[in-house]
Amino acid sequence: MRIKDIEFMPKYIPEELKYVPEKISKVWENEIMESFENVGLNKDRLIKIYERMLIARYADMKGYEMFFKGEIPGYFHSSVGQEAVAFGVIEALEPEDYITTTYRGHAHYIARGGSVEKMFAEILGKATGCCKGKGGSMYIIDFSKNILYSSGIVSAPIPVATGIGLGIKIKKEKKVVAAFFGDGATNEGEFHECLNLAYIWKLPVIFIIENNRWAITSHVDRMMSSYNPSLRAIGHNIPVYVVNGMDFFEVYKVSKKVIKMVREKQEPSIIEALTHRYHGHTRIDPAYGIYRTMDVTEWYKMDDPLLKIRFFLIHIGWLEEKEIEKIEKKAKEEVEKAVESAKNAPYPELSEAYTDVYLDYPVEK
Amino acid sequence: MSRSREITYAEAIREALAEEMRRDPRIFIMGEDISSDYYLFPATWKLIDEFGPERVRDTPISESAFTGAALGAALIGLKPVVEIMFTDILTFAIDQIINQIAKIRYVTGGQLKSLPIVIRTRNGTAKYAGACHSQSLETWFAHVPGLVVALPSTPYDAKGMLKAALRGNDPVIFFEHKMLYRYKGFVPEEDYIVPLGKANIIKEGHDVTLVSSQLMLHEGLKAAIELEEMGISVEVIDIRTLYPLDKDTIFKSVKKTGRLVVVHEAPKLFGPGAEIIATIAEELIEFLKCPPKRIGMPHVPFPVSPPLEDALLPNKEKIKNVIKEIMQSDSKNL
Repeated sequence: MRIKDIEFMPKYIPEELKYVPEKISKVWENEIMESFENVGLNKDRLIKIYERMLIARYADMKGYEMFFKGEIPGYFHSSVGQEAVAFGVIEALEPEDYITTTYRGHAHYIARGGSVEKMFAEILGKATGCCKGKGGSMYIIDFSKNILYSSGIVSAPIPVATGIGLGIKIKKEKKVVAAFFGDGATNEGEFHECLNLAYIWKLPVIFIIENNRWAITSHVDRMMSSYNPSLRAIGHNIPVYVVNGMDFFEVYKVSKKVIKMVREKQEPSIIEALTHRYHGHTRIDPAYGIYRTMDVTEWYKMDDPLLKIRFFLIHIGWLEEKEIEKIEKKAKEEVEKAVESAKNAPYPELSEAYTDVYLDYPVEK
Repeated sequence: MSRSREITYAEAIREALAEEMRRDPRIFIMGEDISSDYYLFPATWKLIDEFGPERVRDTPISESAFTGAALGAALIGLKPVVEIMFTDILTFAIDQIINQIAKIRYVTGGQLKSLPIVIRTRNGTAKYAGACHSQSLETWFAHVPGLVVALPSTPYDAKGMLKAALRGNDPVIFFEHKMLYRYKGFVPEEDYIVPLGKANIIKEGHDVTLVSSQLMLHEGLKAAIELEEMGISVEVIDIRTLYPLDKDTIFKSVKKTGRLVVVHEAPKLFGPGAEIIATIAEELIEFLKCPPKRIGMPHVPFPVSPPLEDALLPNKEKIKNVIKEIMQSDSKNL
């Protein structure tokens, strides 16, 4: 019954969205191309991004399915629906920039070019995982990708990202740090403390609020004094950009601009991306039916970030429907293959339980 | 030839910070009001004159934010020293210490190697400072895997242990003691470290082993000297670090004396004494001539009223009485 929840395509697609014009008007195409070139996007790059986004989508759908079958130890927090935020921001960063992610961090890792196999091995607690299986689903951290932090505690990465910003400043590097966290984390004091700290110390931190409006089953309407969490930043003098987090193009373009500004001025900014988590928070709450109606979820799926790019690629004539289907099939197969090899990977040796606690001192067994 | 002079515990800490900051440009310190000449505690006075505001960083009253920021800075290769004014205020930074700093190396599967974060704070009574400026919470932190818990008791140890912490690779919660800040002791002029995890026998003896640290160590030592005149020979051990706990030194002493007393300012229940005595009970019970004793605070908060605090805190007299008692009861109980 619950497996049904994981279908991501809308059950109902309005007629006007199905309509694919024969050929897009030349004027419109030129306009798009120009705006693309301005931000460094082009056909090949967009297709690659779409491929990675599909992998992020299928990976979390697969994980969610496995989680309900009891195949995943611990917890699993799906990013399905929120991919445009991850990809929009991360595509706008430079490879040497730093990222802190969260317990809902799978899409961030894939967007940064992470390996699906290493991710699933980590989720399954295998020795080949990015953290040797000791972190699990909530710790998809990979130093080689400059993904430096994640935590099972919702607001904990915010001070850590602020400190990375401080480190960048002390070391006089021309880097930035992108800190992802959810709307729920802005109700923790650490969020407010860190905005203050980042402002008074002028730190190159981009705080990215992935506002999916739900903290487990509590809606922002009930839990937050301001409708938009980023409004709280006004008191801290930090510029705020609110974007449609369901639209890759918008997130990417705004991020590009914000990141450039943060890098040049070495001052913090906030991007609040309004987005939607299609799935439940984790296991106990289903995607909809109890605290949110199916209608709402279906309505958001109309606005799906992947569908938008899909329609765009077809409308502009860069890919035929058939080619896209092929890409989608390939992404699905890649995820299946990665999951299979993660499943077959060995668990860590028992001695591994006692390593990485101290570097200079023995561990009391 | 080693040259030595008498300096205070606070000066020893300041020297350790200054010398290590000269030695290692990656070290910076941050905390509330630390650059001010009017700050209550002199351990960071004037450091800003030499190292500037980038490396001697005043913070707003946001312990969780700047403790987490220390972790972030350490992730990209810096060596932060965080000052939290009082032990009691560590509670504000507790998620960052317990769930983040202590665990990050483990959950990254060792991708993170060195994590040199030193969190300095001030433990214990300040004479009538009341409920939230007097506590000793070291067991909370020793209970969490991934942290080193240091409790220096003398100027010599304060300097040497802080240097060891700054040159190490693991996060250290460095508990200084408020009442020892003006305490003077001999400190060599040349560079030295006191390795963390090694207890110190302050006074040798053969009748009773007294395990302690910080202010209570000084009380215990006074008690031991007076008891010596009464013919009771007490061996006084300064544990120096609660984790790693130097069990070997304590074991060797208990095997010799057969009697054990642990004294600390932390509440008697679930305090350092509970762990030390449990360890002895598990591994050395056959050597004990009488039941071991804990001396600690009763299970009440610190009152400001001077006669009340004086009555609650362990002191020289209480330690003497407990030791005299167990010497009298001797092996009757076991």
